[in-house]
Amino acid sequence: MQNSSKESITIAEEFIRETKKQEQRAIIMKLVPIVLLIALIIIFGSITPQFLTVSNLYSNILEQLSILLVTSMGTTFVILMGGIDLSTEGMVGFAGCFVGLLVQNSANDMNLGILGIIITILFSALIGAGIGLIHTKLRLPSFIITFSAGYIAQGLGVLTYKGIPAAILDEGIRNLYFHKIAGLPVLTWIAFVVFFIALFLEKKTAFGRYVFAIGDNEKIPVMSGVNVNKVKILVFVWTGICFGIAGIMGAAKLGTSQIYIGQDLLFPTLTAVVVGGTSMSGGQGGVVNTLIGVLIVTVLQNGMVMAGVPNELQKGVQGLIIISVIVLSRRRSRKQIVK
Amino acid sequence: MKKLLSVSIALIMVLMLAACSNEGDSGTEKKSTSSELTESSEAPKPTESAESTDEKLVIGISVRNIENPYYVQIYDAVKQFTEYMGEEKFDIQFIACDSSDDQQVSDVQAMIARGGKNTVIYIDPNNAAVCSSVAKICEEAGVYWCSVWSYADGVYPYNFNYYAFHQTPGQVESEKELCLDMFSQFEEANKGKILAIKGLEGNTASIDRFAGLNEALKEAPDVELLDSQNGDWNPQTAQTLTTTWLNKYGADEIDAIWCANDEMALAVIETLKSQGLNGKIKVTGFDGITDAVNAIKSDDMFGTVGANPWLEGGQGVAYLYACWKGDLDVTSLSEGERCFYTEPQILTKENIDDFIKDYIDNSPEIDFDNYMDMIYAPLELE
Amino acid sequence: MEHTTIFSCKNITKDFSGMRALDSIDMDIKSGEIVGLIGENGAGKSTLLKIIMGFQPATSGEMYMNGERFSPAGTRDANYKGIGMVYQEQSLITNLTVAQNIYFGFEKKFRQFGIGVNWKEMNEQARRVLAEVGSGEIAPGKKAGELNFATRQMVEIAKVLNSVRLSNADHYLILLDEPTSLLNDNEIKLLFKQVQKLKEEGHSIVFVSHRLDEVLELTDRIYVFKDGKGVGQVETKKADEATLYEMMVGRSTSGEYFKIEKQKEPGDEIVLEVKDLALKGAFKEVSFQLHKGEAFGICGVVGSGKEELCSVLIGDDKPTAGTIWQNGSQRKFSSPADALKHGIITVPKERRVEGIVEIRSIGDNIIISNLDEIRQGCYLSPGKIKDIGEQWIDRLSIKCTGVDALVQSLSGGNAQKVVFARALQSSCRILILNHPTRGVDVGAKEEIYTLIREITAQGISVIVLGDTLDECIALSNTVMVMKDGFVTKIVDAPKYNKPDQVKVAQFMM
Repeated sequence: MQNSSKESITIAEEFIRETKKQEQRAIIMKLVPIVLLIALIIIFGSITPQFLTVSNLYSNILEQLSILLVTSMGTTFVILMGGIDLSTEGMVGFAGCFVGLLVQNSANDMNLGILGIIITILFSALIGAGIGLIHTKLRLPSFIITFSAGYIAQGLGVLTYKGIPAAILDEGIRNLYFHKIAGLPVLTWIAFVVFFIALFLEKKTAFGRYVFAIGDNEKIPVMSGVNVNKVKILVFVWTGICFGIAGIMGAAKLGTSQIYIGQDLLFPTLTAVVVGGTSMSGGQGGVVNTLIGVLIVTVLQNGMVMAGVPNELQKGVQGLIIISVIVLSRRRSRKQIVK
Repeated sequence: MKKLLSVSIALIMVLMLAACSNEGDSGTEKKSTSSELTESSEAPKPTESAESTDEKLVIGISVRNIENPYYVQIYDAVKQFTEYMGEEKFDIQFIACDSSDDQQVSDVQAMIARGGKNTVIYIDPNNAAVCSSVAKICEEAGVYWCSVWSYADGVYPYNFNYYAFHQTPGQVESEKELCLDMFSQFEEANKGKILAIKGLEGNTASIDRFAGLNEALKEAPDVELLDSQNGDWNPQTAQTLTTTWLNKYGADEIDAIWCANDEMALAVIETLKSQGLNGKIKVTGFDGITDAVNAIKSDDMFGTVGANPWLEGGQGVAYLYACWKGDLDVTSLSEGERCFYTEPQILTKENIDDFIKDYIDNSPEIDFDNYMDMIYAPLELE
Repeated sequence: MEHTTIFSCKNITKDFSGMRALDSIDMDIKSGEIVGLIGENGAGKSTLLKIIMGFQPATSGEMYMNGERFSPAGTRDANYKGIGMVYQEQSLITNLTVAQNIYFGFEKKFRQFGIGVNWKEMNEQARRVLAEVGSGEIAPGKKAGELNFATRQMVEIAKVLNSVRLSNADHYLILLDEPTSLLNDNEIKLLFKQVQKLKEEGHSIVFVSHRLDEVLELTDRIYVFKDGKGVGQVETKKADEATLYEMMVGRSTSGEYFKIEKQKEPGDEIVLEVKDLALKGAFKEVSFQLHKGEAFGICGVVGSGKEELCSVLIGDDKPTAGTIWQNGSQRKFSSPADALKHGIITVPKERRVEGIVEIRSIGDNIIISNLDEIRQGCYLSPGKIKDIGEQWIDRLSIKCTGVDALVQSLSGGNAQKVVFARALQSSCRILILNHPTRGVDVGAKEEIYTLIREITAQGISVIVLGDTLDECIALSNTVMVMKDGFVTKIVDAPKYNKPDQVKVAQFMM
């Protein structure tokens, strides 16, 4: 070899050493969410003993996180892909209103029961497909299209009941909330099922791998002949399904079909995904990360009420913790242009 | 050039379509209103107005959202008024601002743009800040308006020519009465522990109602308020708070959950139902929506305070109409006639059946001619 | 073994909006041979590879693979015909495992439960494929992001092999683009072993590299490109480094072209001094002095560290060791804006990304770095902008419709002049030119060379990263050669005694 190769090893090796250091840092940062979760549980547990009871940790928190878990499962895939979904509130609200009118209710004579649920989920999936199509074919950024879709869905939802919410009389749906299996309402178990399906999709299917690849470096799957557009559309279909399910769960809890079902869901969903460790730029993270994120958000909320933190401070505390987690767990190069 | 032309045509078509859709509201059955004249009050009756004009009056109703049944009832009341007077003379604009202050101000401006001086506005301000903006806008435009529920400190009707009046269903007193009633019906009368779910931070209605609860608490020293949290008017939040509290304090320790409105209260009841606690833990709300009425009837809910939207909306708009017509000179009225409470209805098990009969099964008759009767008590603004 | 021609291309030409990147390239490759492809930066090597892989179509010309006419619509197409490429920039997805990367896009083979994938089975097969390239010890279940570069390179090769197998062709063609840049000696040895193995099996490899010694060691034949043309091919055993350099770099472009006549001697004052400067992982122990009015050229191939050195000098990166001195005082630039305050500005390489704001006018672009000086309070007088703009348009002969013309409407050369104008408008003292004539037509190039002469004559010092070696030598008073992160030579290049290109090139590679 050339006489400078000895020195060239040094430069190349330096480079490799730097990369290794960064990778070690990355591994540590991956642990931040779990550490935070444990820390929160310990802190809140010590402030309020009732926090640590089975009744709170199990029956309460798990029930409280159900809807959030379902919406987050959908949104995780969109963010993994490098996009973002802002349609959560409208879509979930719409699904809640829609299903209310299809099953036995006080406003009309429909009584479709489980068929109503299926139709609602299918319809939400369809809207998701529409969003995906517009995003890929018209090349509108996901930010814009989901934002608008959310508003449109919200409008449609409100139209369905025109100011007078229908009370849901279908026992099956109400029992999703009232009926308990092993101390948890049926809808919580459904949330777990959704989680496991998401896990399967992420880890066991080619689809899951493609989502990561697209988020990491879209050129490569395109070059490898993967139908990137199809994958993107499918991601939004999945999100639509998740939002549909979440809407039905919300309707079951409230007992009426109102647009409120979707209210205040967007920010916690995005927070859960990001805090859990799924990077906003895509290609990193996953549904297990999001599960941790959902737990963090719910535990934080629950713990603060338990601890009697004054209302005015709660939002501030939440914001602080979220920013800290994100700062700690992201690598930002100085030269990255942050918009 | 061609592009400009087609865009202009499209715009004109859209405008025409928008204009058309607002005319010809589908008519509901005309209610025959009593035409008997009661003792004449000082205020001129709308039907007696000497002038007749060809101009349409735009009635702008600006509210927070259109899902709330309360607002829908206001709209119904206003519609009844227009039917009473002859629908074709009116153009009702019922617009929701989606809890956005800026949006609400824009909505008001749009209403004024539509009718010019032939506009009256009935508004439930999203926040006090909106009131100040609207007061200025209407004063400059020469448009009569009134506010309901929320007002702004320092912005009082009697300081303006066009801010006709402010009305609020009495919240503090009525809430206090309702709570005292509830406390007396605890297992151990006037002794127990309660939790409170408020509305949006800083919202006048939320503040007033909570104040009413506090007044009641002052008179029942053995009733303890364990915690109060903002529910943001969001039923989901109310449910989460409920389950958390049940865990923190235990169902046996809680006697009642006070809610700042019916929607949150009903959601709380659903959660209690899921744990078999409905009826055991008392729940109160505010607004008097239909579902709440049913819940009271079925013992799931202790009580609520109903505003009387038919009265507030119906007679309120009659008042505004008289101002617009020129028949009523607001500057000549007393402060109490420009700023007042309307009579709320405290609804509990005892009177629920009557209420259902009078207000739900039948539409109440609104006395448009004697709109001043809606004044229950003067509201003192410092 | 009988050697048949498995790949050939005839008259391949590629034009990019007015610029000819490849001119009538002929090449043919037989089975079981390793062909080297060498040339300077911009000679057209990558362009040809991209055309072969189907990334972009040739403007004219034909290709044949295994006897059939070949015009790929995309990479998959090329794969199906038996051609695969290992890219210079890694093409592995960091969050996927080795096996998942190797079989990326081919998961159907491992279907399970309908839409599931049998990773276990895939890992098994991946293990086999890896063993075939002598890397059986790589764990197929490991995430690609956790591997070092040499290992990743092996995985890339396995991946490529796997994808060309689709073609069921007897002979594959594997294109390797600079595969050794980040490998150490042992790893390079291993790589070569694999490549030899492939050759023995009858497959062919195209090996693109700047390291002539490696090319000489590994290949059977070598094609040399220069300025988009094929300047010849040699049998490796008959070639040596000197001949290769000569072919790659020797030019007969006249001194007139570079306006060497106008080169002036620099002053004695040292305006910038760099001592033992280093950036971890990029370059080390770089020291040089820049004099007033001097044109200082830095040359080196990709990976030599010159680009990163440039970044550090303009303040875009902080050095990890060493010092920078300007006029006797030490400097630590925190940002390009900071460097600008001290009179150091750059004309960047990626003009359209870093240099100009395309959708704005010429006038706006020119004044953008110098707003403080020309504004009064908060007010930017459009009149003033116009004046300044017109001055520069005149001075640099920028062909445009006026000061208000949008930069995106200008040709490459003229747009580059706008960037120059901006740099000069900001009254800098040290100008760093990063490939200033890239993508610029010949006429405009000459104008830019004249401009550089004028600038230095005025006492502004210029550091030039030349597009080609001869440009670098011709323009500079002093040439510094870098290789693999080190300075290998600093040589004087006075007007009438320019160093021989071939000799300088030796230090680059």
